Amino acid sequence: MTKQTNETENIITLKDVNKTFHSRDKKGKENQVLKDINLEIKQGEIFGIIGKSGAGKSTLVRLINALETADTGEIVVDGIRMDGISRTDLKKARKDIGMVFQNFNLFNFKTVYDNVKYPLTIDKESQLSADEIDTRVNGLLDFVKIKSKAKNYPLQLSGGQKQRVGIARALATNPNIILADEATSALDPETTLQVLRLLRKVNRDQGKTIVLITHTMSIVRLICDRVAIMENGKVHEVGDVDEIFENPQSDVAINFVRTFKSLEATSLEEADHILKTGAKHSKDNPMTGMLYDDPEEEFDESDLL
Amino acid sequence: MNNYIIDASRAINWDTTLPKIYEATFQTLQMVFTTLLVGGILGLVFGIILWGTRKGNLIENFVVYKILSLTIDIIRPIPFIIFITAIQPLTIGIMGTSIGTTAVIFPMTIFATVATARLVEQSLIQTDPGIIEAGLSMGASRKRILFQLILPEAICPLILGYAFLLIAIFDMSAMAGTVGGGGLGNFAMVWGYQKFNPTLMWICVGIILVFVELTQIFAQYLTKRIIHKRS
Ligand SMILES: Nc1ncnc2c1ncn2[C@@H]1O[C@H](COP(=O)(O)OP(=O)(O)O)[C@@H](O)[C@H]1O
Ligand SMILES: [Mg+2]
Repeated sequence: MTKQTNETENIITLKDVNKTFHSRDKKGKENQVLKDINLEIKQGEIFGIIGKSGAGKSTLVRLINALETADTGEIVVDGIRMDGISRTDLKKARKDIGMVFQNFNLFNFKTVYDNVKYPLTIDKESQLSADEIDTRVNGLLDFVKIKSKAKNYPLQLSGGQKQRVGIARALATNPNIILADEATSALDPETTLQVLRLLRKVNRDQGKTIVLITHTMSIVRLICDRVAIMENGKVHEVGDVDEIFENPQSDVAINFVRTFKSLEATSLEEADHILKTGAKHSKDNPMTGMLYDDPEEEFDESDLL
Repeated sequence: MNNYIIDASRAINWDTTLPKIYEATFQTLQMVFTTLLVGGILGLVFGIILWGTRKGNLIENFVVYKILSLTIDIIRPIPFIIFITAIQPLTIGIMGTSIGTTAVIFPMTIFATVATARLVEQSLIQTDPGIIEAGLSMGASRKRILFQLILPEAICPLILGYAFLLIAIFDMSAMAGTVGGGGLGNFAMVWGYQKFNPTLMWICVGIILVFVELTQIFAQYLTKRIIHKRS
């Protein structure tokens, strides 16, 4: 298998992927969570997936490391078909895909050091000696700047520190791909920036492809090269972040971009105006505030998320 | 009234009584620890199966879960003293006899297994599903996830659960004593109730209390230490 690593090679491909959840309870309701998903993610990029809560983002990303299985379609990750993969091959494939979680999912009974070490200890095929493992773990702790907490337990750490451990742990087996599912959603804005900086360092310095799930357009703007915009299980638009911000095509994309811009508004009235028209109105106009409709009418709870 | 005066003035012959107390204590410990060992291990296995076969879990299996769960729900509410009698034929079939310390261990073990299974299930349910997710995502096998991630994560509720179990087994052993199982429960009943000797009865109660308290203190100490270390 010869593999070139030029910028344009697709490292993750999803083709015609569909996924329906069947709930066993009561009426046997069916919930088609992913509809005809086609995606190509390139080697070395930071690829964003944005959508509101329930859009299907987590399900989509969990298909990539087969935590979830698709009903139909093809999923190829780093040259390996993930759909219908055998259990043994899957364990191997997963070592090439690190995952970072919203709630960190650290092992609370293990020290920071042992958390990062764990993926290496279960890797039967790696020929690393105990010394090499130690060097690697320490190197990772250095990389995420958490070495001073090596002997601490996760419950003794702040959210940002926990996520740095989560990232170090995801990098332990030196995977090609990092999946980050709302990795900063539980963090305050300052810590969010810290973690985003770290993720970009992972991308730039180590050349890892990152698939980053978020429900916030500002994060896409800050860090992603390209983005897929999802709603109701469908990808409505895919493209360069800059292009989408400049010229969004789909209604969903337009709405996300407007929401992003509306957050720069200095009043709720102005924000609402941006959401409706896409343009900032002049603050000099004294009438806009008075003409403004009752906000309760169109208030959508999901806007708060 | 008359009886009481006669009984209370009856001197205890310690030379013959002490060996009986020792024997009863030994029988109790034999019943309790055999039951704890066998029931504790079987219960752990069934508890893990219960937890694992739940919806969305590592070895999700609706049928297995329902069958196990239902069996437990049927056995658990039966009063132990009735249960012993009810399964006597089975006890004879398996233990060869239905009386004595060894025989009574059989129904005790079944009850302990059933109780432990639920205790273990409850302890494991409390663990964060994110741990399984993290384990799977790094390529850990289900066996590793269970033994290296989930069980250690649930260690505190498990310790407290087993302490609770041990105390419940002491309780059962006292009841078992009344149907020929011997032990301190039997001793207390015979000497304290039938022959009305409060001193001897309270000695038995005291010995059981000491065991129960020691168990409780030890479990609390262990879990406190673990929690303190991690947080
Ligand atoms: N294991 C599951 N069983 C049943 N329904 C699920 C399951 N996981 C997710 N869903 C449903 O699928 C939809 C999409 O969920 P998810 O992929 O988590 O969305 P997002 O991450 O974008 O918020 C939701 O309606 C959710 O309730
Ligand atoms: Mg999600």
